[in-house]
Amino acid sequence: MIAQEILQHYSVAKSSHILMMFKGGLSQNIVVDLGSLLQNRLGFDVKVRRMFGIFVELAQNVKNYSAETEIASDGSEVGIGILILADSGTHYSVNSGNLVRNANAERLKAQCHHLLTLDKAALKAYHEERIESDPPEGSKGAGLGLIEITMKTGGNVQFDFAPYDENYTFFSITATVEK
Amino acid sequence: MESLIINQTTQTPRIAFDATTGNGEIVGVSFPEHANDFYACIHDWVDQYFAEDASRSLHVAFNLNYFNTASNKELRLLMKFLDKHYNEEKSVSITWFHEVGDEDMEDIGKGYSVSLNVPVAVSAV
Repeated sequence: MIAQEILQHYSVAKSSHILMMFKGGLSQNIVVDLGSLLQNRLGFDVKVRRMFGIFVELAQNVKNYSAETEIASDGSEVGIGILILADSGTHYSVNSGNLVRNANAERLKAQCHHLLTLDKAALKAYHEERIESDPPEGSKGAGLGLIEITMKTGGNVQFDFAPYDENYTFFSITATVEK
Repeated sequence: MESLIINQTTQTPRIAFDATTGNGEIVGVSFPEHANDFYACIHDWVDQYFAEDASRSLHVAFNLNYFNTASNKELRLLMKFLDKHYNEEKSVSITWFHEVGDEDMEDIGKGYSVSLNVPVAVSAV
């Protein structure tokens, strides 16, 4: 019975071409360790670095903004989520998922939708505007992660939302880059 | 004054600013948890370096193959800070290294060479 369960996980990982999957609290140390694991598997050439950049932004997004948190071993409060890296043969797909409060979901949806309406020049201008100004209120980073992911994928990014319960919505990001 | 040396880690670059030669370098990758805290020491060091002797010269080499968005912001602040010293008649120059074929990194360097007054040489390695 146990083998059947593990086999299911194995089969899903195999058919989805998963290189790496992590679910849990993303402290900075875990982000760094997952990054090392990724480099050990794939090296660090210019195309891997582009994917790595997206991976780090997604991981730090979950760490900073997930509504589900835990206390990490270093005592800091970190976000919980899932990160999945898959290899389709021609592309890398970097996926993240985490809970957001229902009250914040609409604003986040609007923000993501706005990014997808911008062309390359408009994205660059928006990035320029954001990097020159103070981070948005409540932001723990530079507030640039989603903009940069949209730029680096050339718009090959999907933001999606699934109902979770009366308080939370599950928010996912799927970013695709050429190998 | 003392040189500024910080060893490279898996998430932060090597920082080495030599008080005798006036050569500084930032080498490696950068995605620390608190990028602003990490880069603050360079601002302090450079201020002191020119406070002791305004006629000194400073050359800074940026040789990074990956940084995250928060580090990007801090690097831009550092560039502007070096530009400010240059505009105040200090002898400052910068080299921005990028790997051959890394267009993203090359474009960032070229952007600086256009937007800043301080000379920024963009060089492929």
